Amino acid sequence: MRVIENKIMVRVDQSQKDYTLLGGKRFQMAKRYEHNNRIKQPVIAFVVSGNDKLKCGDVILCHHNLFTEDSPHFIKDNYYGIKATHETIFLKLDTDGNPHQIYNNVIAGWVDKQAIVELPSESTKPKVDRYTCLVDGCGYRKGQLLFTIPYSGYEIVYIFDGEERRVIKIHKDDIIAFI
Amino acid sequence: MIDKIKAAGIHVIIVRDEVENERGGLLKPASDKIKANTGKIISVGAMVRDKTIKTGLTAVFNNHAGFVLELGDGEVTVLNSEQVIGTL
Repeated sequence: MRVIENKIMVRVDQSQKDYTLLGGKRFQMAKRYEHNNRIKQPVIAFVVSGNDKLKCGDVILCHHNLFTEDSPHFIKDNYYGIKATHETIFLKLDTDGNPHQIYNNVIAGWVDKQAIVELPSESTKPKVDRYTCLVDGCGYRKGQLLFTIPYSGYEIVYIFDGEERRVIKIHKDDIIAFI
Repeated sequence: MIDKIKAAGIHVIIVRDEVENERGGLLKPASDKIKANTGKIISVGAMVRDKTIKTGLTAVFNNHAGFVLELGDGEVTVLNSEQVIGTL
């Protein structure tokens, strides 16, 4: 089966609430974030039929609303046909658990506020209008400081091979300046 | 940092002009300070279509338009190119 109209077909393991395997290593979405607490987490999906940007076998993180029990995107078994946009697909993962940009979603990291007095790590808060680019792409290089509309970053936290990883997804249109 | 910052997309970065801080020889309180509605354009985004918006010109805009970014050595205001009313 081939999908049409910028849609892709993915396979989602419904039992992945505990963990799934990526490249033979354990992959799990974190259940609670330190700075951007959300009840629902993105869902990991495996591309079965892709398009010009995604090919069969690619691993992507998608919006959780696409894969509910009564989802209109459901085909059969664990297969879903979803639209491929920046709102549905957050990032692409490789077999080492490293994130990659897709559909103009920039991958960035937090920038901590600088305090006059040295504070413990659990008391420091990050800035909400600037982030550090972590991955080249979308016209930005790794290490560049990106200024955005406040609170436009979406934090994604996952645990890969026992190591917690935090990335922030920002849409390219939300970036207003950079250094 | 103000020298290095660059505007992205359809945005324009402006350094606001300073307004008078005194009235009748007395300093105005912080609550009475009005932000200038003009400023010097220091960076124009690559997707700004209006050719009259150029670096170095003075832009005129609404007082409450845009976002203020606090940088280490000062503040800049970031506007959408459509929020710029005109240039001088």
